[in-house]
Amino acid sequence: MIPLAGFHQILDGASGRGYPLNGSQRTAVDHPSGPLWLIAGPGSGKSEVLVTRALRLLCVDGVDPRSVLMTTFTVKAARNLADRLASYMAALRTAEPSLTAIDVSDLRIGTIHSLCNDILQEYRYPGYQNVRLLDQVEQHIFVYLYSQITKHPDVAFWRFFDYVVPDWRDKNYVPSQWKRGKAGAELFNHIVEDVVDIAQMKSAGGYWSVLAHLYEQYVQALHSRYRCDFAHLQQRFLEFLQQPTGRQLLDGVVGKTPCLNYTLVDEYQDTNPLQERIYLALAGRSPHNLTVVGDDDQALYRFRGGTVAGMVNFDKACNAGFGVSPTPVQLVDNYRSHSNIVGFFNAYIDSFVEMRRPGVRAPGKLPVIGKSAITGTYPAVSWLTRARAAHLPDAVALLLRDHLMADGVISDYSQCVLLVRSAKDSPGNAGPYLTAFNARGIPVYNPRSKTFMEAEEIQCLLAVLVHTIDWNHTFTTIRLPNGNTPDWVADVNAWITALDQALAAIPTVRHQVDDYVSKSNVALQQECAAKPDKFLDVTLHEILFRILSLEPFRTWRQDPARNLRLGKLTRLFDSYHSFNLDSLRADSTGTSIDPAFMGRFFQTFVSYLVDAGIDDDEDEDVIVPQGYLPVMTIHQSKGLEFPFVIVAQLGDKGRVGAAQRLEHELAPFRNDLYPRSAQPPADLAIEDDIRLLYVAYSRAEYALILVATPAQLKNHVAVPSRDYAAFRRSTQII
Amino acid sequence: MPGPFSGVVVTPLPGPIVKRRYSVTQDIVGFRKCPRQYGSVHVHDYAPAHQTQLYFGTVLHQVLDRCHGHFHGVTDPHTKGTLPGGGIVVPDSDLESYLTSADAAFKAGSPPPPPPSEIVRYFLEVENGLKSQGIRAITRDQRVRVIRLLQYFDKLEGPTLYPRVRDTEHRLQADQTTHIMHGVVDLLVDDPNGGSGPGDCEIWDYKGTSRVVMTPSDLQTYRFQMQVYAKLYELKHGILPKQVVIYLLSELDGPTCPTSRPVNATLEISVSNGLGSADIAAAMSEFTTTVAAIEEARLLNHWPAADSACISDQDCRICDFRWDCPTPNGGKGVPLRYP
Ligand code: SF4
Repeated sequence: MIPLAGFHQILDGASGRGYPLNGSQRTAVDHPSGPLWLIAGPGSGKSEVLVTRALRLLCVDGVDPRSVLMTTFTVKAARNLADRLASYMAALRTAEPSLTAIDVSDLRIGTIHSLCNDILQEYRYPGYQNVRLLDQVEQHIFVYLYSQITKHPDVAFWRFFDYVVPDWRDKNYVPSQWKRGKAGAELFNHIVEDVVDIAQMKSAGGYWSVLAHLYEQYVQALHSRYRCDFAHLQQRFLEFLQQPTGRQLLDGVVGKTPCLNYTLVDEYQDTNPLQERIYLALAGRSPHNLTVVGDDDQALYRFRGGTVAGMVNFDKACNAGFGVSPTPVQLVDNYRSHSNIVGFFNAYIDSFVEMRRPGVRAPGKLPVIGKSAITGTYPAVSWLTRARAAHLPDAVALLLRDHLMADGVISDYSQCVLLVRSAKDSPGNAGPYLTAFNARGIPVYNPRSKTFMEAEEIQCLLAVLVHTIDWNHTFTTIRLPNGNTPDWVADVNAWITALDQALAAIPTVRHQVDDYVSKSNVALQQECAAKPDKFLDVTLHEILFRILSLEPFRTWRQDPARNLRLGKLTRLFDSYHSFNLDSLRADSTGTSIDPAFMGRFFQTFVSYLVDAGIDDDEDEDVIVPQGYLPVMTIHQSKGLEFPFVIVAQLGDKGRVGAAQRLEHELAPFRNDLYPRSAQPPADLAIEDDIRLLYVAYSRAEYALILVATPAQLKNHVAVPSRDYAAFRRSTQII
Repeated sequence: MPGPFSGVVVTPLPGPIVKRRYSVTQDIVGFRKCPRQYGSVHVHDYAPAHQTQLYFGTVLHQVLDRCHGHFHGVTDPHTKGTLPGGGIVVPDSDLESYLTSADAAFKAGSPPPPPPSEIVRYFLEVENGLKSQGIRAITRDQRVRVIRLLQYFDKLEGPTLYPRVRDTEHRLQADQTTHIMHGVVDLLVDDPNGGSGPGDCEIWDYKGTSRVVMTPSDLQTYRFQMQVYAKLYELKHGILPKQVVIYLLSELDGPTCPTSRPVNATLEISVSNGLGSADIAAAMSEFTTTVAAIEEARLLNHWPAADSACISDQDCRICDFRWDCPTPNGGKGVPLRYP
């Protein structure tokens, strides 16, 4: 072990991080024991503190690495923490060879899901033996296939829960089975993650009671089919911690494993109530060494079940769970942004009456202090405006090309970012910007320019697959039980049209696809004849890869955004494959593909793609190619920083969604650890909007540029206090 | 007219240089085998349709890990000192009928019938865990073959190897100038003639493959891998291991369990034939060059296919990206299959 002062000295040096920690960062790292409540503003080095604290435990206090568990929100962030830990440990080891025996790879580090899964496997927990863990898509397919909620026919029940049904158009009819399935999965996940008392929900009567029974049937189906979803994985983990085997993890086993003594949680503002209980249980032993780090103002994931309440009320949780108060430390020094930007977002978040209500922000939240090396008297916060919204995109394009690039301010477009609410290439979203950038010769990287299913390469790939396996286009004859044609038939036809159009635009490669399809049709007919009523030894997933080897897909794979989407399609087929449904089979007469196989593929998988909608990945690793201007949603930009941040689509409002409604509606059934303030859903949506823009504004290093017409900014949460007049007076127009 | 930001020049902010971690097997060996396949699967996240190789290797490793745990009574003290296979080899036909009934039970939602041996039980546990990751055997034969190999290994090597096992899944991680290298070695085994110090230890690593399907380049990469493990071990424990053993499990295959270890089953590297300091330094430098190549491929987004001399046709035969790849078949590529 080494003394604390020496430890800091090594890490402060060039082989470590290269600069010393500030006072509050040091306080947090050196915090001796007991719960620590680390409230960290943007750009304040919170991950740095978390990693240094973990290393202090190992190198100064001599804690066994197996006694430390560290978790964060995404796989990407977990990898980053592990990289940082290893880098700094290397610096420490070089300076102090006596530390060689410390093996940081023994420290448990990961997302909460991966840690729960690994630990339950490691301890062979009986409640988690021989089960298949379902990812999100598989959960949807599972609910669709095996849960009664997808078949629940009562339109009044669905109207009662209409806020969880995506894009339900005609409310006189029950939503499609897929919409019911996806809504069901969302309701079930909330029931588990919000720690809802099912008995209480049942006794509430009415549709709540119906929901409770449907949930129980779903749990039974999971159990009898040896499956587990992510929400129940966490629930089982919490159960495990309360069992004797779980105590082995917590208390250790003499001579074998040490006790688990330290839990460090990053991004705590996005935890859900079930995770909050897990963390309290992990730190149940006195002196309750639970460190949580986060920023309530940057909570973005309510729609994934996260609630900022955990971060805001950590003191109440510690008092309820441990009977002690945590030590609060605030990290307020911002090393990222020009001080004018810091001043702006400080004033911004502070200015809203909605954010001053009790329970909305962490108590005693201090303003952030600008400490960045970036200085200068240029307009670090500016407003790019035009009288008409239609003129804004070109103004942004010209600013980028003729000023930032031409003046040598930036050397590469990837030093800027355009942040928007929706990056979709459509008139109401980022479309006009994409057109303007294109017209001005600015290359754009925007993997979310299309919804996944609108993307040309996805539609074309699926169309070739359909041509290949369904040569008679039997899909057009599939009917719903009521005799109607399913909606997805029109979509599949549209994919086929999209393929025709794409191939018409590149006639030189058309023969590759045509040739593949016609030869495959012949081959499949021969195979069917040879193996009536048998499997044909090929899966849809395999066929997909063969199609990917043809033009135009080969060329499309060179494009980073298209490649990302094509990779995702293979993952979706992999999920379908996990239900053992994608091996082709001949019909009993040996003349074609088994209609039951075909029906399942179209009715289950294709209708899922079309009807349920494929969500964007929240955990994607955004690697902006050099030379490209990234256009991204504010959610995508979380955790990133850019020299120039341009925020557009100001004036739009976030709508009340399922997450805000459920937070409110489930409150009576929730087993809360401590009293939580209950805001109406509309207020929660406003809070979320304010936080969203706060995240956008705080990404900027050199300059933050707000893009909007005066009309868009009037009374909008994009400006502090919604005070347009003050904003106009104090902000430089460019 | 000067723009609003004239005079500002964006320069990168100072910050700590965080080194990226590279896994010896997944990243370095994977990239050396074939950059194109590595890039598609590990960088661009394509989900392979062919998981056979992954299935095979992972099941062998994880079941053997449970076998060691069984012998040492890790989860259940009653199993201490006993072989999970009980010294018997369940014939293929019995295994097949057991797997049929276990599958039927799974389909019906009922628990599987009691397995014929603990090895089979561990096999099913591991297989189920892998299914949760979408990794599964393609055919019944592959499942039976894995169990067969596990039974042979247990019977042939278990009695002498298990008692010598010091640690399993032993993690090693070491700092290099530009990156962090990490790996997990399957076994640390006591040197039969030595004491209990870190220098009286062997590193054992299982491979699912057999000698005959390996290209010279595969063999070279595995040697490098073992030399690198030895170095990482030295960096952690201050001394090199006595020797490093690669165990090629497929060499055990055949209609009956071998009564002695087949000559080609192991590849042993010790100070006299590869653990000398110059050999190790060469291996470390070779892997460091590979890391630089991975970083460059990332930067340029360029993932070339393996050279046909460096990759076996067997590897290409189960690669999902083979249809438009120039490499397989001695550079002739493979004809597209229909559908
Ligand atoms: S076919 Fe062989 S060379 Fe080509 S990508 Fe696959 S593994 Fe690499």
